[in-house]
Amino acid sequence: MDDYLPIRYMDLLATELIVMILGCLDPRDLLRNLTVCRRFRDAIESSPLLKYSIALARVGAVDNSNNSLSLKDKLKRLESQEKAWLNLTFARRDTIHIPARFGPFDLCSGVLVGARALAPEDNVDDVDANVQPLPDGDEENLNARQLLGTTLPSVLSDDTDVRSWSRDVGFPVYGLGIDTQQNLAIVIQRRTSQSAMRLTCFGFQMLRRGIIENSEEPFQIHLLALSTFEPHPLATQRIYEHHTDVRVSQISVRCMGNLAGVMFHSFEAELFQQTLLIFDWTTGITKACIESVKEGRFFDDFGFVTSDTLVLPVRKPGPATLDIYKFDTRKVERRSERISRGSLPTAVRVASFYLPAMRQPLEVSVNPICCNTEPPIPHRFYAKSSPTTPGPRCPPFYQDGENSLLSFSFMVCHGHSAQSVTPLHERFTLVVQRRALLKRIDDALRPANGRWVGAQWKTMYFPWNEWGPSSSRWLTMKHLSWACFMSGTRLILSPIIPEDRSLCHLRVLDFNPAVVEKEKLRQQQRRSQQPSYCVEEPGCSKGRTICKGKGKRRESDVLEDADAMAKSDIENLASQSALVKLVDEPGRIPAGKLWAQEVHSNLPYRQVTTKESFPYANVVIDDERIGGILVGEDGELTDVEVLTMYDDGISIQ
Amino acid sequence: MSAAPQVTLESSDGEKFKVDKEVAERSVLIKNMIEDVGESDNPIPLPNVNASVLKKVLEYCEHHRGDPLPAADADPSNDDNRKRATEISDWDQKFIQVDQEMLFEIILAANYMDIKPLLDVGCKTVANMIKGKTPEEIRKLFNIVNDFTPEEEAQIKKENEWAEDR
Repeated sequence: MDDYLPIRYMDLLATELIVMILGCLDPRDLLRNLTVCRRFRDAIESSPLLKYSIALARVGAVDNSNNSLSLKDKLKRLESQEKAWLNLTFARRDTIHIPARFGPFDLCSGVLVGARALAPEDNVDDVDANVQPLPDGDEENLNARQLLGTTLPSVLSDDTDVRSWSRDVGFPVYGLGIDTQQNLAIVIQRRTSQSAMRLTCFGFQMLRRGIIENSEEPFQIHLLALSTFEPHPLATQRIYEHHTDVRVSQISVRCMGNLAGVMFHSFEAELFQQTLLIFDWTTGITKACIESVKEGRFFDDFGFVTSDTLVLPVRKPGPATLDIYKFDTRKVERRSERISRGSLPTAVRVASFYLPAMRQPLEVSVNPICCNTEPPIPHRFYAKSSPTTPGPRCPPFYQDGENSLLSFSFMVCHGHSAQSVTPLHERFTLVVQRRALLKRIDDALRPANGRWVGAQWKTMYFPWNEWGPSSSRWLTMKHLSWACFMSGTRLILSPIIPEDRSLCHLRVLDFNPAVVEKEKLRQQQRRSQQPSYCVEEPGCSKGRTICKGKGKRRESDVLEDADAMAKSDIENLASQSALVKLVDEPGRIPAGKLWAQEVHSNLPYRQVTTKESFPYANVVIDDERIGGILVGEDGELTDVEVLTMYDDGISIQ
Repeated sequence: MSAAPQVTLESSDGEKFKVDKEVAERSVLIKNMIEDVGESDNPIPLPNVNASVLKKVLEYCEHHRGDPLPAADADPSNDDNRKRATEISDWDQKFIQVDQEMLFEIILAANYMDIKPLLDVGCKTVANMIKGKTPEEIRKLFNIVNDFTPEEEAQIKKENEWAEDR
């Protein structure tokens, strides 16, 4: 039956038709098709669309269809940007001055928004009589009611000019958070209250300052459009109210999809307390209110993993965990159904991922920080922007949150005992694959009829050894006083120069598997070409490789401090513009005073460090830029220097 | 008697098909020919399409006669367009359940006759056949000869290893 000569139908199709067929595939299938035959490969190579979609997948980005650049232009920009991140080359270096009277602000995805007091002559009549005197300069913060937005420089977008816009919102601003994708600014109104003390703090995705305040009034959370600071058109209630009677010292705000989260930090009865409030900003419906004291579980920060999933790093009681909450994000019209099915909770703690066990008893305080909030949500909210309209830019593509990582920074103090006077401080950053957490939860949920909602829900527990080593990486951070920041698959560090502690290099750790594999291949090829690669370019050797003549290198696989500049590194820097290192062997932190067992973590990464040094106190990162934080002598933020990453082969100096 | 104007199409093997003008004009090629030549009783020759394929194509055109014409320049990079990429309507799905020979003939005919929605259905169907398969399985499915050297194949595979564990 089957022994007639088979016809090769594919040969009948013109290349454009093959391109059309392959265009229906996702990038992973597309890549597989590269090896089917030459015709397929040539078809893919010939099509800007297919090349672009592969490049997007490689970089871990998603196309923004609202941006009207041609495919060719998008591909070129994507490749130039990728190249820039690999070598840390930037096309622009701009200084954004932070005005002295700048209140709370947020710096996110290319937009800086802050609240500023109006000039004194503007608001003489408005000064609140109840406000108690504050140390110098703080009256202004109390009356910071002019919201000021400015775009950071960009090379990717067509409108490269920096735009600024502002509006007097008519109330003093206490805290804020922005989401550029949804054109959303969540702005918390200061309660008319007394102010006790002032805190300055850099950290999290945003940089922020706070003033402890104390009032019986509810917090008013305003939902504004980022581009105008007018009420957001998609918010059915323009103000969300939250009642709390604790003295709030600080607020952090995050948002993903329809969910907004506000964490209130307070210090009461010698105890740091946190209240996490989650609500749907489009409807004003409260989803959860998690109070650390009531729950007996202590946390310091939170982050969204998806638009219906939250991660809460819990440090107490017992071993630290990453707790995952899921929310019922179904729309309000389903409410009747919800009632008929009984009292379903809107937030469920679906899983706890254990972190490696620490030695007990130790007084351990963990300050976890969840950095990545790049949302994996549709970009339907991205407005088409033009150079004349204010608001965030409309980039040609943006990072795909689903393949991005989460990072948690810890400061562990131990040795707080009668015997020891000086406690030990150790800092770590834990990098975790977002997908790895979600996959485990989904896998575990599937047999249980596929529905996570249910009153009978039992939290799943994942021991560290089961989930951790394969999908995370622990970095020890000895030389940094700040938490570090992450964007997509990239983590940024600023190793200081031992000789001059006011200067640092820039170091980017990229956990993107495509980047790691490419580097691996590059090194293999190099090695096969020149066996003495170690002498030629020692920086490109694997972390594990012991460089000849530098006997001081540890022979074990113990991970080096991620932020330390090894002496050999500096020597290498003298001859190259950037130093590249591949870390693809398991990392190990030995058991000891702190850890009960040796801590393994295997997630590979590629690290690149600049030769140039920078005078930054800390560094932040987004998908297009590196922001260097400059502080004055008083430690106050004065400027943000923005390095826009782009390398089209022309702009390199 | 039907008042609808009709045209006659002639397949490569000489068979004649009398169909409503509206149906035939799902094909941009035919629509342009009618516009250029004007109304005529002469059959329109389609030398690249045989009778069995033309019959099938006309079945598609008949079913979709009332559909709005697709936008001329739908942006292929548009995400919505791409999302829809692998979705095929129920009727189309049934329609395109044919053997490989007919499937490729339909694609070629749709391309030649310039019937964009039919071409899309055909391409999506082939893409769905490719989806999730290994290169070896794809070669087997379509009788494709692997013309890479083992070294070349290994190199390309290695370069794209990262995609496998995503």
